[in-house]
Amino acid sequence: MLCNICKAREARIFYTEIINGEKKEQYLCEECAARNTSLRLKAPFGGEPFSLGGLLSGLFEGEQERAHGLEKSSEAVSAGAQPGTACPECGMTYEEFREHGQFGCAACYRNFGKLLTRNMKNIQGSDVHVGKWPKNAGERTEQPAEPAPELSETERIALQLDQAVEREEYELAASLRDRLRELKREKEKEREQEREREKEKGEVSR
Amino acid sequence: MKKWYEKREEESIVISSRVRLARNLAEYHFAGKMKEKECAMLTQIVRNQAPLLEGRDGMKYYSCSVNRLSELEKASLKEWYIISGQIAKKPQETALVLSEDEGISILVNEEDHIRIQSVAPGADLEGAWARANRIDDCMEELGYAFDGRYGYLTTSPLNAGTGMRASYLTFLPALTMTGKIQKLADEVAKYGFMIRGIPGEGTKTQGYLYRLSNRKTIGCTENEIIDSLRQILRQIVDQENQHREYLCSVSADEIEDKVYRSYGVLRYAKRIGTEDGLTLLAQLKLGRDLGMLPLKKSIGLYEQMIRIQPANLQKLCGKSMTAAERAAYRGEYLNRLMSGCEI
Repeated sequence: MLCNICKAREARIFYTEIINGEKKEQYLCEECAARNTSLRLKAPFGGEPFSLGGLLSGLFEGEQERAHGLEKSSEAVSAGAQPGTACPECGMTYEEFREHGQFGCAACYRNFGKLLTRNMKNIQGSDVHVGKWPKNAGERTEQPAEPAPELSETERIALQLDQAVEREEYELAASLRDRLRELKREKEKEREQEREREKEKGEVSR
Repeated sequence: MKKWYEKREEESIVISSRVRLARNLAEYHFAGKMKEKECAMLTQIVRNQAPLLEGRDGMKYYSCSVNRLSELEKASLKEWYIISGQIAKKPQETALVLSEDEGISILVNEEDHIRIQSVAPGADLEGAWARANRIDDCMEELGYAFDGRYGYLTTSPLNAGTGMRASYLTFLPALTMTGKIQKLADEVAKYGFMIRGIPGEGTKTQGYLYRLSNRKTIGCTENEIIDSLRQILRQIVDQENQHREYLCSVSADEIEDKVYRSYGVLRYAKRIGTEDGLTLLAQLKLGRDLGMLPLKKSIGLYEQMIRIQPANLQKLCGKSMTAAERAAYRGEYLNRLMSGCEI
């Protein structure tokens, strides 16, 4: 069967999208699926398997909303947005990392740590080193030197969403996505209320 | 001194075992963020370790600036899998530290600051790892970027943890001819390993050569990675042997014909292309392994497939050549090789 979008290449992906309970089904080729859907394609077997540009950064997509572990550059803080977050040590930005899938220095591992932990587990099945230990790296610790930060509810659901998409359980994925949106709305509402309270306080003190 | 691939006769299925370790130094930015001065300092301090390696490894070590080599030299080293395409293209200061038997090659300032490659003939990942580990012990004095949780910190987080890629180079003609490679590749992928054609893309190959390697680098020890690879290899070798028996039982005449045709072309043809040369040599190896072609000595597929590549042919000839000139020279070279191992 030919792809429903380009009508030229062989369709290899059956894509189901559920928006507000409405189901839309399409047969797509890999190129059109990558371009037109949020589906995260695995690197094709035998393709450049370690090109993070194609694999890890794909998993990082959508992280802007849920990245809390990143150091923020002053511009990013003032903009209140995740794009623009940077490693204070080498200046590596979140966008740069997403584009190339490479870190700029050892400190990036800490500064991008929360994102890394979650995604490394997804890809490699673990995020804790148990192999060789250099002699000058101190005593081998029983527990990981710095345990990964606890995941917030938003992050936990985002992780489940990734896994549901991976397993092609789209109905579950859709409900998780809706839950994420709900959480986001709640958070925005809380922030809004906070701002109003601040405003009121300001007015009272004046 | 003999090169690693000359140390013993090439095995019938497992050509070589390779371990690569990715390491970075804590005091420097990673490759993508390094300034020119840092690159120069890094290459110098790693090259300064060469005498120490000689003591520990019991043989001579040589080093050079990769970025200052001629394009032909770089292409030749790339064909020998000593340097990577990535380092060959880098304009910044880069270096290669190479052992006399070429079993250890250390790339400096490629994707990571240090990439140690250790190759051993046959199915001997344990040997390749033991040697890489010794070299790594010397290098760690330079102060690696290491973290108690993420292990060796690599430029790409997909290599973090052990930073190790271990692999076997295998010759699988029967599994290729019976169309089983893709299925095998899908199967090993489930366990976090992969099979790729060499040279080629995906599972395509011209000489029935495939590399079996690990994907996962964290959450397991180096020995666990090696043990798993060895177990998978054992199954692949069994399957290849069974399929060779099967092929011999159903189409021995056909294979024998193919083998002797290949011998005829290699022995007498006047112009041979790179890909053709590789395929013909692979068929000759299969013929000898199956006992169909009583060649007096092994042709050493790995070595010869590299010697007939464009850059190495031009180095051998001592001048640059067009593709047509190369095909003629390759023909001459292979004719000579065949006459040297007469039936």
